Amino acid sequence: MRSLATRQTKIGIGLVLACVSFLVVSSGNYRTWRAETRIRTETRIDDPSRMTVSPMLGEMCPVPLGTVGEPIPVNPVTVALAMQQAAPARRTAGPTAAQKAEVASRKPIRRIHDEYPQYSAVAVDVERNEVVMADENLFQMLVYDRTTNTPPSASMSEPKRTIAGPKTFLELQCAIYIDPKNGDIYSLNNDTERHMTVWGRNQSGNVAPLWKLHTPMGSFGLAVDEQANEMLITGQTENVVAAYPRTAREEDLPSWVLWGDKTLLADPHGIALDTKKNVIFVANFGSTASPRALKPGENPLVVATGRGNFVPGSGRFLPVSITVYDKKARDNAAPLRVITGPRTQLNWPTGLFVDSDREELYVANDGGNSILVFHTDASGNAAPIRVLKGPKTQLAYPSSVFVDVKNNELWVANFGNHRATVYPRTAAGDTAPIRVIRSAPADMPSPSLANVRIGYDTKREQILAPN
Amino acid sequence: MAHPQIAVFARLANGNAVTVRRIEGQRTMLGRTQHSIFYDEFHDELVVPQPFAGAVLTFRGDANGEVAPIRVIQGPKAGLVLNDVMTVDPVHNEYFVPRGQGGGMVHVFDRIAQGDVAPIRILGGPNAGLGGIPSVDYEHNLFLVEGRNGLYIYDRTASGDVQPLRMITGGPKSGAKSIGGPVWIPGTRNFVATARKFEAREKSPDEPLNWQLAEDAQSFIGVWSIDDDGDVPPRYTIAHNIFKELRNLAIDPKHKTVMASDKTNNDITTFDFHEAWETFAPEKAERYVAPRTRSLESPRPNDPI
Repeated sequence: MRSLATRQTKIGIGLVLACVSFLVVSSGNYRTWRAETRIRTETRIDDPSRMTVSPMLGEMCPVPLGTVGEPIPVNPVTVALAMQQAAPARRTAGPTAAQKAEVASRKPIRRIHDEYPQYSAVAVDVERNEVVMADENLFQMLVYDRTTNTPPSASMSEPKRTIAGPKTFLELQCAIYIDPKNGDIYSLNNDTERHMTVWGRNQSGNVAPLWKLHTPMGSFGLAVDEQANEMLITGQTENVVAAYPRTAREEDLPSWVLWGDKTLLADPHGIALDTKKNVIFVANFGSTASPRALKPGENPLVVATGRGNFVPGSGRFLPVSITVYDKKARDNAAPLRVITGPRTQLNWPTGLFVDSDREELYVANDGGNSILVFHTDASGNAAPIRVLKGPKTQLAYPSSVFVDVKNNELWVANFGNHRATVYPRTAAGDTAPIRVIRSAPADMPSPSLANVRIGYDTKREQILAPN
Repeated sequence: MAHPQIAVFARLANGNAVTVRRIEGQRTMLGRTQHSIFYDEFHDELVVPQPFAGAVLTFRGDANGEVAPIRVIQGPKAGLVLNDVMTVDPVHNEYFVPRGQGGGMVHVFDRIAQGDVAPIRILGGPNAGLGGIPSVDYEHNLFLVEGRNGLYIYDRTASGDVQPLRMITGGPKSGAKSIGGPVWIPGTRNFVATARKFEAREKSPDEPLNWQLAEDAQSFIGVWSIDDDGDVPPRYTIAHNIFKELRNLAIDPKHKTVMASDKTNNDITTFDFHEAWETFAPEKAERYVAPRTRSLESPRPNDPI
């Protein structure tokens, strides 16, 4: 038995060596083939029908390379890989139950995961001296003392209260509003868990929200008109602004919408209200598509806040912008004006905040790692009146901005470095924050994953992870 | 979602990993909801869908920072809408893009198409309900895609509302259901896919849309043969009681690992799964037809994003 096994092993080794020798000899041809294929691909003469594998050897050994018209291998890379595994791969009888069980119980050998909170939204409760942060990494709400300042030597600052867990319905939260009257915390989810959840200021732990509201798909921005008792919510997916009465709950419909091609809403993100000038600001990344025509009897409020109601093939890219609407604008109304153009420095504008007292519009400019401040009358290709940007600022993917007018402070939630940063209200240039709330050790890398997917770059041996 | 990006990590990245590069910023034309990404090693290109703009974006393989795509497919002829997933056949130079918005069809484009171009063929129809992340087996000329009644295996060049060659349905015999997100393994006749245990419960309307606990989700990764048909069990399964909202898979053929993304865990896990590269005898079983109930799971192949 042993000599037979040895003989079989020698034969196996011999076969593998023969194939390896073949590959070595043909490697020059392989490189030539790769180069030729690249050229042919660009010139569109590589006929797929000419690609084949050897029927005798299956995917084990490639057919010799030849001239045009002769068979060429499907994929030398994978053929070589198949070669590597040739000896142990055959198993016709199927795995045993024990083998299956062993594999089934296997744990991951690696895990890319940020174990620390990543701030995606911020709001200050000026009445109660607290600041609330949304953590889009671990799906939780974190409440800190407003004056918390993480010392450089400290690992992090612990929150006073945390809301997190399966009962909370929290997921990928991106906007916060705090009711000044009672301290209730409104938190907006962004993705398929399409809810706005509302929390009493003393709630903590894995608890259900006080109430929740079903929101448009991809809800991102939240602004509350306290005079009109309305909540304005942007929907990224449907390119909509939906206004709900403060009393709306669960499946209640909005009372009105901004929705349609004339609005120029395009992947809308942050939203802010100027109650003095009675205008609405909306930040747009630029991707959009046209809504389909309404069918007879359809309620436009249902369609506008529904899911997937577009004309196929109508997708397009509009310039990045901040669109400005009359507060009374409804339906397919055009904006009063549009802030757009290279001088604006807009680059994935995300969160917005209006400082009505100073007539200033703050923009968390995610793609530019900056805070842009415009006059609230800005229009067209207007330059910001202030720009906060630079290494001292510690801005990294700023996604949310809040102005504390009582304490004259500007707050920023940074999704790229585990930090909320606080500045003087009118900070500009490369200004260091006056306080930092940090949720992780100072030098902790931030993968910034959110609703991630994956691919694999076989050439560079790298994991590709789009959010 | 706060920050769209394509983050790139070293193969051995672990924990709070440092990215080796990121593709991000206005010029990239990216948005959120790129629910798949394909690396074309033959042409050294990255390809992603851009659903909010009804587009497909192609970048150079080494793209880094705020770079524009080198090609964009988009327009009325292309006919895409909320197309959040896709795959590439790098050998036959084709992009396979489920149209999106519950269209149940897959648009096939020339790889180097640019601008507003019509698909060279369309597979599926309202009854097929095709969607989810597809995969092409360019060695055996097959196309794998989620359909209404399971994982459908078509001839690679199939066109129109035709029947699949084979169908892996899951069911009581295999103990699997919701089989999706196939990734064919080059050099083999196998593919890995995501699945749930057949007896796993469905969600009720009064609970979150996304699974919060792994023991409720009961998701796992399985490996099947491209020659299987019907309610055939996976030859091996892996990664039980780990995932909450398992999203998609990728493979590293050189090291025989499988990677998985999970939305609720917000992580990327890598598993040693060298058994998935073994050779299996094909199996055939009666096809199981699941009751037609509206699932609350998300995303489902027939749903828009």
